[in-house]
Amino acid sequence: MAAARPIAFESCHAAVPTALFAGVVALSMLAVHPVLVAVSLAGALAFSLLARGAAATVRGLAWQLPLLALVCLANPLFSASGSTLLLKLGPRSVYLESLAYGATMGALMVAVVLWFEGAAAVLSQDRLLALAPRRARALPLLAGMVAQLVPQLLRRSRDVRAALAACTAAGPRPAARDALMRTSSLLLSWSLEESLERADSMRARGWESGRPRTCYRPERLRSRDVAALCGIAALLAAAAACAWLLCADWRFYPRMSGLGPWWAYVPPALLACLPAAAELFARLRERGLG
Amino acid sequence: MLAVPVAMVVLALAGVRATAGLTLAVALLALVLLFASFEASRPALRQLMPTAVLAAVAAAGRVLFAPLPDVKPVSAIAILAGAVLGRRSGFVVGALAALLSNVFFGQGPWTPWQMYAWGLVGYVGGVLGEKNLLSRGPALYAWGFASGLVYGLILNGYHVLGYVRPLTWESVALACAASLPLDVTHGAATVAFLAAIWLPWGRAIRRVVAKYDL
Repeated sequence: MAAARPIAFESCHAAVPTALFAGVVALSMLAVHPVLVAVSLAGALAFSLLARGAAATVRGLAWQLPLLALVCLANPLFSASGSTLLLKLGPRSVYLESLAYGATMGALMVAVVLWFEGAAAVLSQDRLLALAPRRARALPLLAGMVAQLVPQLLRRSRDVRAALAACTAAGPRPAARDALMRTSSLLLSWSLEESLERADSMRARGWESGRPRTCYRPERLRSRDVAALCGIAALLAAAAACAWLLCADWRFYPRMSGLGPWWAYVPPALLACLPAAAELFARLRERGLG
Repeated sequence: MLAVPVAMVVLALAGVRATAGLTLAVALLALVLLFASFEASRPALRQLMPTAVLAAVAAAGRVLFAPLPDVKPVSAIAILAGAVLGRRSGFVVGALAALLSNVFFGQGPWTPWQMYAWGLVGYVGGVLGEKNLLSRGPALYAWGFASGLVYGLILNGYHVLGYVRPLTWESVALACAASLPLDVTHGAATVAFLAAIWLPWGRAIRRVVAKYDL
């Protein structure tokens, strides 16, 4: 079975998922509040399970959960403060508040990583490049070139090593360090010369000729994309205002307190659930059509 | 431009709870400004291509050396690129190598920090190269070693400032001491890589420069 891939944002302009994921990540990172972080983590997990499949999510969690535990345990070891003493480890005291702060930050980190993975699954490289402003020419070109060169270099390094290993008539085999240096220098001059030839052939085909050139844009901003962007912006503003209100009340030290009114949790929760809900809706509709 | 995050870190010591997000925003802003200045310098196509190749070599080198922790050629290649191609190209090589090698290692909130840290290493390499300081061995190796520590300091700073609270000097010192052996390894590896690649790669680049009349 092919790996699952998200389908919710396929039919809209890349700006819509970009705005949504950037907003969710920014809000998750800025709102250091245990409930908000838990909501964000739940939303990220739900989207990851729906869009990337259970296998990929579990594979990621295999290293993300130890990371959470590490961040959680590191905080009480680095900073001892709070009012509820849990235990004493030699000269250091471990407090509940300090542990809770560590757990919140660990969950925040895992939530942000999960959102990043989800965003990377939705926004493939060509969709991101389509977002680059028309005036920016050098950087999209550079990013595209490097992304293409890295696998090519890795492949060519095997070619070069195989060719060098096959030349047995040239004397004894060099030491590992010399062989590595020789391979890398060969690769560098090979790629450099080829890249300059590519630059010349691009110029010969009219790149940088000074005349404006048309280009095909696969992504078009339609009116329903604008409507979706406005809706996301409104929800983001509401969620940010509520998160601000909640975070202003919340205290970790010396004692955890200040949960705030219940309704203030609704907009951030809606925002965190939106990607998973959109994915679920798109899948159900696809099934209905089939 | 490079002073922005430093100033922000100082501000963050004042004790804002959302430091993780705010410092990330500043790092992103610095990246955007430096990329914009690279874009505004309107680099010629023949200058762009070597930048792309060196960034790709750095990213591929990081992938190849992945089994050895903290032995990464990225800093050394960024310094070389800065010295040979100019400070802006050094920055772009470091930043793009971090961004695109993370395709293999996983993107996350650390990506902008790695991009910034390696970009800074390449940028300073370029500044030193323009002042003709890198032609002498000791200065080159000193910056190579210091770059490992600078890189470690920036990535530690992002973790400590963002994720450890309440922040005391003791906790900062503990976190830095925990990562010091890794940073020293990184610095020493950078020196070793510089010693290995500086002459042969410099020769290869000069040969291409002469052959194609750059």
